[in-house]
Amino acid sequence: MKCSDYQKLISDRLDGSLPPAGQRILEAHLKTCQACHLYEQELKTIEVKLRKLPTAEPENLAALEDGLRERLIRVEAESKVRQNKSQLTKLAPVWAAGLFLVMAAFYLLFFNRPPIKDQNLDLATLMSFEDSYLTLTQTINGDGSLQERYNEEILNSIFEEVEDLNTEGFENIEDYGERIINNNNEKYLLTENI
Amino acid sequence: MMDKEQELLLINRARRGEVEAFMTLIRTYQAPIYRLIYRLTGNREDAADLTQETMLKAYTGLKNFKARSRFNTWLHRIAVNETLNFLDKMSREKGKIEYLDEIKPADPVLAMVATPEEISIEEEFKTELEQALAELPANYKLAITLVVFQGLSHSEAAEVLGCSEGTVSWKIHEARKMLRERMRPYLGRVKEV
Repeated sequence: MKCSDYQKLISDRLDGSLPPAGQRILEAHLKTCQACHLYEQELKTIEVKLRKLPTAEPENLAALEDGLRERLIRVEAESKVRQNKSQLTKLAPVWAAGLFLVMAAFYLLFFNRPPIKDQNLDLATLMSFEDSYLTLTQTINGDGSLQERYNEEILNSIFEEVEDLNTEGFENIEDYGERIINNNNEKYLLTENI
Repeated sequence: MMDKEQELLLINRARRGEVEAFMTLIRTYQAPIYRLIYRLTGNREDAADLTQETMLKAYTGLKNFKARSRFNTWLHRIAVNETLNFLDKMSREKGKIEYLDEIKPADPVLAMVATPEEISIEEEFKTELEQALAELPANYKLAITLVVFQGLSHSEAAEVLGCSEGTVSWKIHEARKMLRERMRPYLGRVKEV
């Protein structure tokens, strides 16, 4: 071991962290080494003066404590608010699902009704019905003997439909009469085409 | 100092949010923590602020305290971290030496030193030693402060600093060597121990 190693042991001994075996080795060296002996004396002098250096005490410990207490109470109150908030946040998916269900029920009840059939069909629509019927009859007309009979039945069903549609919703008898005349004209136009 | 059982009881109560239990717990540690921070910063106001910050951090971090180490050691670790962060911030903002030079005149101990004629050899030695200590590299100063002034063992200081006992021992040895070099001109003039 070199003197620098023993000097480290001297430092450890000052801190009370040198084990007994190390102390014995050091003592033996100090008896023979003047330089290390002097080093130890100087360190001891410094150590004593070091420990005597004035220590700074808090000027107002009570004020320091009061300030700390105030801050801790504030921290505690804030932490409680945060806890409540986080509980609400944890329930957020439940709230969202509930809200969604309420909105879906509302939508189904008030907005998702089956569309009301528009019964005020105009002549053009009727003519498209008639075209479809005529196409059908033309197909059937492969058998010439049935042609006249089918035409008559088809036309009759159209006439009935027209009459039913145009007579619904009339309260005034004059309007009804006028519409009957119109219906007759439409019948005439339809038969003329055939 | 309270016994460990009493300390644990107070820790558990403080964990449940009892501020007064925490205040009782830290009452005995406030002054030593203040002294440690003062040694490292050299400023009373900063020491008071950082002591409060240390206690606040300890309170909010009490849930993480595992009681494997002593509460005192754990508190010292928080104080050291807070102080080093503060000093680091100060040195980034102003330059640490400049900062320390600036605060020195405010120190009431050093303010006692008036003219060279009035200074006794003892006082001159103390002043020089105080200066030498303040000018030690930060990690050496920290190690010697924890052991010599705060009375921690090498193993406790190692826990605070997050290093091995061997490192603590070596840092203190180096710090003592530096102090000896600096104090050599005065050593022959002061009374032998």
